[in-house]
Amino acid sequence: MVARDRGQLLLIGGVAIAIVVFSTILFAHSLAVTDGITTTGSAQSIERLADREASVNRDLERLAAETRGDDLDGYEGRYRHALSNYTGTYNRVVGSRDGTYLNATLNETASLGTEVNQSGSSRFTRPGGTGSNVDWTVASDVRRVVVFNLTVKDIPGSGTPFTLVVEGDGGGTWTLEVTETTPGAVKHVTVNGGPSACADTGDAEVDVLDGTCSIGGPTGSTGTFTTFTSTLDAPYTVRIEKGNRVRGSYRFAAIGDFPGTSYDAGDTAPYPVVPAVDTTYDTPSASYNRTVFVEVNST
Amino acid sequence: MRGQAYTLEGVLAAIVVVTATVYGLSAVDTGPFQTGAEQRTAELDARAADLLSLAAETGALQNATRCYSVGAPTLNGNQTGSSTEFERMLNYTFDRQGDEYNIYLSYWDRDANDRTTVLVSQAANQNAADNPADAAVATETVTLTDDMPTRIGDCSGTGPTLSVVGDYFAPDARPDSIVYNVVEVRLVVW
Repeated sequence: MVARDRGQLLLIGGVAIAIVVFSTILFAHSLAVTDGITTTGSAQSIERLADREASVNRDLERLAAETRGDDLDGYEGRYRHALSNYTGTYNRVVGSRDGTYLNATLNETASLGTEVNQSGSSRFTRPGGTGSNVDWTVASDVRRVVVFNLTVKDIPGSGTPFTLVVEGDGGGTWTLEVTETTPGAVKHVTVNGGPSACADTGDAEVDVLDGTCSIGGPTGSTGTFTTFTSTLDAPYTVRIEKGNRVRGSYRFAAIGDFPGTSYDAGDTAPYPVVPAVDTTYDTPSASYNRTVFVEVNST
Repeated sequence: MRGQAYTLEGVLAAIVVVTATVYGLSAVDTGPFQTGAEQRTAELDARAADLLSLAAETGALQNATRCYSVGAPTLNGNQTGSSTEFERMLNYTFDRQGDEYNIYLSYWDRDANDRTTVLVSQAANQNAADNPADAAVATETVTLTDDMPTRIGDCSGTGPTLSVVGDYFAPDARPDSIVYNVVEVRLVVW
């Protein structure tokens, strides 16, 4: 090879290196999109574990719904007890055959939801905070409500109605009014300015979520009304107006923001609207640890 | 200089071989070697697992489990007009393809303090074919709670709840809890 061929050799060398680099890039790209290399055996194990996870999650949801039911008091304890019995039975039936181990415990700290329960006050007043003691925001950016019950005993004073206002995502509002012209007179529950859903003397019990009301006990007046969840889109802002007029109590549990202008520390408490369950699932071939947020639907 | 030329030639040849291998591998489906029987077992395995998974997700498996022993003496798809959705799924997936299977339900027997297994695809154990060694096996669990109603009348109607019915095959494993029992459904196909 003579000196004049040197340039040709360098050219071929450059082309060769370019081809190597280009091929490497293409090859590396094809590996990246496969997201790893695995054997068919481990792929099957992972697929089966995914099925198991879905099955366990379904069980957690069912148990959450059945333990919650209509009785909200002590829900966390009942759910914890059900989880303990479920995992114990599961491990005896499934684990005794193939060595599977399941553990599921309620993680109250990670659970989503807050509760306001004003039950001990004769006044239907703002729990705390620094805002207006007449009109206040119960919660804003409310994405889900699981409890909203009111009991209005009487409205002393000038006959000004007590009003509950819910504002939806689009700015639309829903209002519920409880009126009583004079103490001891007939109370009326009306929604959006419509006719009275209930009218009688006595304590007014209102289930805001179910859209039912009753006044005067079993022999009194009962009725239904359109709920805010059926007419407005979440997130909601829930406000109370002229709350200081009312004697009674209310209970509200939801996922949302409970503003400091309405509450002091200790006025609200965690409530597992969406319970978080720490789950461990071990099999001889694969395992997972996860905190599962359980969507609770009615059974 | 001649040695350099040979090196380059070797590199180019290697590139051609590697490129051809990469393109060749992408053109064929690679995998571990399997005999025909192994391939059939793997295929049955996937079908059995998918059937149980789908039946569990749709609630068909739970309905069939709540029906066995109180609404139907057996659970299988080898009869015309099978009464539950799960049995229809079995019929479409296995019976019509000429595949055989056994179905077992395992539960916790509190009195015996042991796991108990029953064959539910046949009325009597002696009628069941032995599971061959290369049979495909799939399992799924069904969690039963006290308030779940049984299925009666050939599985078409709703009966009393599990906590009060007397002749259900599985006893209450946790009388002090809403959890009634956990039933493992095992499907063995060949």
